[in-house]
Amino acid sequence: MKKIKFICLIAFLVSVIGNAQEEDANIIFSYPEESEISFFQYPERTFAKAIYKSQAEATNVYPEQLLESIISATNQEWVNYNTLGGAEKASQKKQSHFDKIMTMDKDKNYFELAHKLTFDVGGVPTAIIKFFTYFEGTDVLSGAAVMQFVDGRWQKTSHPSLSTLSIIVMRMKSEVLEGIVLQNSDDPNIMAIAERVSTEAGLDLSLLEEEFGSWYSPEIDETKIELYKDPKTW
Amino acid sequence: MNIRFIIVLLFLSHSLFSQLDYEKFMGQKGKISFNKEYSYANLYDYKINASKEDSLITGKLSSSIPEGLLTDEYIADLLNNKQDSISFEILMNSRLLIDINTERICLIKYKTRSNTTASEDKIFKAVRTGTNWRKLTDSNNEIQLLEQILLDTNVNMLFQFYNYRDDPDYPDINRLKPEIKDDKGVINIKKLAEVISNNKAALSKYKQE
Repeated sequence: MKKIKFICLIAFLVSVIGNAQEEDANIIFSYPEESEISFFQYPERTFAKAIYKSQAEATNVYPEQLLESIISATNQEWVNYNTLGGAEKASQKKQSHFDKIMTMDKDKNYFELAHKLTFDVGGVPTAIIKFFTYFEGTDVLSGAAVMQFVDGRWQKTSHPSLSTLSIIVMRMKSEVLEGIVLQNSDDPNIMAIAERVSTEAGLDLSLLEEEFGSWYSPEIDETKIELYKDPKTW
Repeated sequence: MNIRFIIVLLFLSHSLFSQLDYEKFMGQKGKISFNKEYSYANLYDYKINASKEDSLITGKLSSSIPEGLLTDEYIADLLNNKQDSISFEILMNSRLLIDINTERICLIKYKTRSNTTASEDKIFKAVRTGTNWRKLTDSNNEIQLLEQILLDTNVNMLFQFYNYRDDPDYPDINRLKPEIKDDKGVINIKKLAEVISNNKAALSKYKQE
């Protein structure tokens, strides 16, 4: 019993010392940025499929190739390659996941692409793609992938400044997001939103997040959600 | 023509058309403004958080850490130090580690002291590439702002700006806080640098603590 307590104590100390060496974040700073942003709506039936047989084939020089690489990845090393920060940041997949990828029918398991935003964050090209997952035996799900172009290829990432934007990109109907980003809608309601969330410097992300948040809080605004949210998204 | 050949041709053409035409996926352009939140930042006060030896360097440290790279800058002076005769010291004040875009940047605020004469505050910059640190000689607007903020403040002041609760001992910081933070309490470094620059007289008493 004493031995177990001793081992627990050692494990606790190692954990505490380890955490101390990690130097946890203790303050949050931000820096204001302005960038060009582009909106693109994919043609209907644009699919990203598991077209790669090996990691070497997946050059990921286009954002869409990264999605094809993600759905093709048959080992953890490949998953790490797709992820900014590599093994340290990548999600750990079980062998059963890779077994499914290797045996699945590639024409029945794929992503369907909806739309894409592209802009720079600190000079780093960044894209957010809205997609739907089609996997045999599961419901169709919506998603948004945030990716950045680093070391000559697109890599999946998460960015604290873009977490809410990625939800907005996923939930909004394409025509609504396009009208807000490009301020080119014929719909006066969408143009009213675009004006509310824009300044001289273009679309103001914090105003857009505020607007989007107001549809859900303090009360759910069913009318706006029905008008602007893609009903196929969660 | 052989029917099998035609079928193969059809399969091939279908396969080619299945490939995405990535270059066509370019959209129309607009403009966006946003606050880029740094995913990691850590402020460290050598004088408060560390042992006594950490705040006063009299010898060479390993070049694998930013503090060691700083000692490399003064290697000749440090090597002149003898166990019973210290003529050169590096006085460590504070350090900011921050992830800017895809790199981890380290800014160290320090002074040097030769015999009894101390220098002005200085900033040493390092950047981590992979697992290795190296001296950073380049700079950009963001790093310059952070350098100036470190030089014009101390760690305690920065936490007083950051803290959600106001400390009544720091009324001038409490007054200025709303100007530099967003709704989530994140400090905008551009606004912080402006506020510090415009209120030097009012804030100087906190820096001397």
